[in-house]
Amino acid sequence: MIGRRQFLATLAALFTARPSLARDSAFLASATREYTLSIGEIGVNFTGTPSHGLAVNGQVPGPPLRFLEGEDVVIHVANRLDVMSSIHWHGLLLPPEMDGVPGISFDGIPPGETFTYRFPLRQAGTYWYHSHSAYQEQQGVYGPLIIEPRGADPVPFDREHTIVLSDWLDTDPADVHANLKSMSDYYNYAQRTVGDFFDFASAEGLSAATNERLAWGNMRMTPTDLSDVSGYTFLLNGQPNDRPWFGDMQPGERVRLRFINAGAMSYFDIRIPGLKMTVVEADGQAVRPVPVDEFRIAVAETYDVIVEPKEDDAYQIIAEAMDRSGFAIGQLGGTQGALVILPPQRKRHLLTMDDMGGEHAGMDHAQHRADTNENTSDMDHSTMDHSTMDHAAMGHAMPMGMGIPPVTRDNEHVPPMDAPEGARVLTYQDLVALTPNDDLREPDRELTMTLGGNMERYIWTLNGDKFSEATPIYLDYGQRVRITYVNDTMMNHPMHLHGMFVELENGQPPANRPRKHIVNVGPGRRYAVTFTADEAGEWAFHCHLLYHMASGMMSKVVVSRVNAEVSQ
Amino acid sequence: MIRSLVCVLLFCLSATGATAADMERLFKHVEADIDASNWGEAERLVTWDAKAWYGGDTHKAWVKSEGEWEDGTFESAEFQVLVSQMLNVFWDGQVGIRIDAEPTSLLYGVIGVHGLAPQFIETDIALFLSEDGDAHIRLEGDWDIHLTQRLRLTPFIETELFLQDVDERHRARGLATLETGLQLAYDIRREIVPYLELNYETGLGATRSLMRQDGEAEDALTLRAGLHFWFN
Repeated sequence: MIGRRQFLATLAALFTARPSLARDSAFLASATREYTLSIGEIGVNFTGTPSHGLAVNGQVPGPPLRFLEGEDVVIHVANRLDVMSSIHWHGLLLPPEMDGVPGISFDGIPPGETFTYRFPLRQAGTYWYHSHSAYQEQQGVYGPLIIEPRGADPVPFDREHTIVLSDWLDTDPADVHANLKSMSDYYNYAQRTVGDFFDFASAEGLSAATNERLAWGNMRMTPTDLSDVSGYTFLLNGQPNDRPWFGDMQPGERVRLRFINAGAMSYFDIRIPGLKMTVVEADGQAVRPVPVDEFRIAVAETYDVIVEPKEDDAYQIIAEAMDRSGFAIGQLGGTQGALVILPPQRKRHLLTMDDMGGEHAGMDHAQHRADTNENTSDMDHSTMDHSTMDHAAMGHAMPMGMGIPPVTRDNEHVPPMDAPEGARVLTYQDLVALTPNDDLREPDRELTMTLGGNMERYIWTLNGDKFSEATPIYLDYGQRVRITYVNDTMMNHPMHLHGMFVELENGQPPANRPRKHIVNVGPGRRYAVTFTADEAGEWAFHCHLLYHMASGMMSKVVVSRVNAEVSQ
Repeated sequence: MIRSLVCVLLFCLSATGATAADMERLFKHVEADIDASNWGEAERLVTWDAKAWYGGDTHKAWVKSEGEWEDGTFESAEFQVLVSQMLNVFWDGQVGIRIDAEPTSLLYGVIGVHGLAPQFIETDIALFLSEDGDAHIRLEGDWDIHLTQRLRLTPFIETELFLQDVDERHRARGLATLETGLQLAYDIRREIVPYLELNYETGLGATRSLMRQDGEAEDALTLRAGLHFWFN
């Protein structure tokens, strides 16, 4: 449903905000675009059982918000719920008080009240918005946000579709969280059984099977912890796969697909059999085109791809959940309804000992632990002592050198995507910023961020602390900062720093490192990012898996101008 | 002794309150096992084992109860009120009081640890100090074996070690009792789990003769049918 005001705004935009006009018009560059959003309850039926969800303007996903780079944004958000709510503009550069995180940016939007967000747009690209209150994001409060570039789009296209992927449960997410606290394997119906043991034993021998079970048992961990929550119904543009979303497309067109992972907990492996996808944008930032057959999208990431169908055919967008518990599917081109058959499910992988954090890899990790613990506070490069780390003793593929991405093209995706032989799969290494970064200074501030967790209690931490215990991370304005993530858990964590893009240390020259708002850190892996702390204020910093954030995997980054002046 | 334990308990309860203050969501959990055996025969037996907790990750308040009802009388009925404090990733320390209503009315102080031992052994170890001044340690352990995703076989063991003779309760110094067996359980849903349990209880060592003198059975093998359920 499009409100009248929004319709008028869109109409106005059609007449006033054409990219070609905006380029050389100071007046238009500062034009204002206004939207009114209303967060309320709705009845839904995604699973065959009527349930209720939350929605923005009565729809899941919420209405697409479209802007032109340089416009002044005015968005009125009315909270029609009887609890606090909020909207966070995911990936946008804006004043901290407009970032929409209750307790950090503002107090939240009380029931029955309207909060007006106002900020100028300083970027272009595919982004999204979602509630940052309680579990509302899981209940349907999310939607796409597209900003067209002021100049010519670096990626010309004839047609575009926005593809919002998400995960839905009929169960109230507050109950999901309580269930995880009562019984952390509540949703794991893929546990290893006695039968699995004997299968393993007949393949590898009884003693190998026994030793393997004992090794896991000693750590009180299981290789089946691919995802905490299962039983999801996956949605593509709000459609479950028994009535898939359809997008029109004609042969010979260049079609831009804007993929947004608005899932609360689910990573998706995406492919469109019969079509090459050329990745042109990651997290809203243009990248050099990379033709791929498949890519994995972490929670809260966005990827824009171009497809160029040659045949007048129906193509299926297949987004398979990383834990292989289901699909979100959609159809492009052809006659609507031509493709409703689900593809065969790919193999579900177990985690391996390599996927464990250093603490658990079954070796003597005293040295390593000591090292990462020291690193939890700030440190100066020169005082770092790598000699205390016994790399050889690690016994698993976890390069420990600072600043070197530990991942290679071959092993980046954990668990593996299982793309067919010869298929090209996107990895972070492939991402090259289209426009060079302007700050090429070496970091003058090093932070190590240990991602910790404990399935038994369902606690998730940053540097050992839950949000309730964490001291904020203080940065000086203008400081060049490197964060080295050390994932001490068996899960992927999509780490999200609000307010600033980070540059992935992905092996590309510093000027070409891609800028992202989400960085996936694989199980037991390290990953480093660099950024310039050039947005003063208080920013949320968290794992974007909803129940991890709700269980403590969150902190606050404070970028302060005062300190910068004092230190200079 | 008891008074000081109660003080510790009250102190820890106030710590649980402090957890509430730092705006972290507090959770609750209630679970119970209730089973019956020997229906239709003379020695009808109903046993229960229930636990509930409320709190955050660091501190929780616990209530526990277990007991046996046989042929119309309560053979034992025990209640504990505890507070727990997280010690590390896998272990909680617990302290509180235990009140026995049956077989004799008695008050204990309790201090113990509860958690997950290596190889996924759910473990409960507690020291009980009675108002009469005697002490014993109770060790409980169980281990889930997944036969299928929903069918579980759980071997369990519970034993009590007395630190001195307690004649009036027919317990002798040393390992006094042992309860062990196998539980076969099926998750209809996670919260509703019917089970069959083969249960063997026996007195050990000198306790056996104390039990015999009293006319108490020294050992019992029962097949029980029961229901495990929980809510939160």
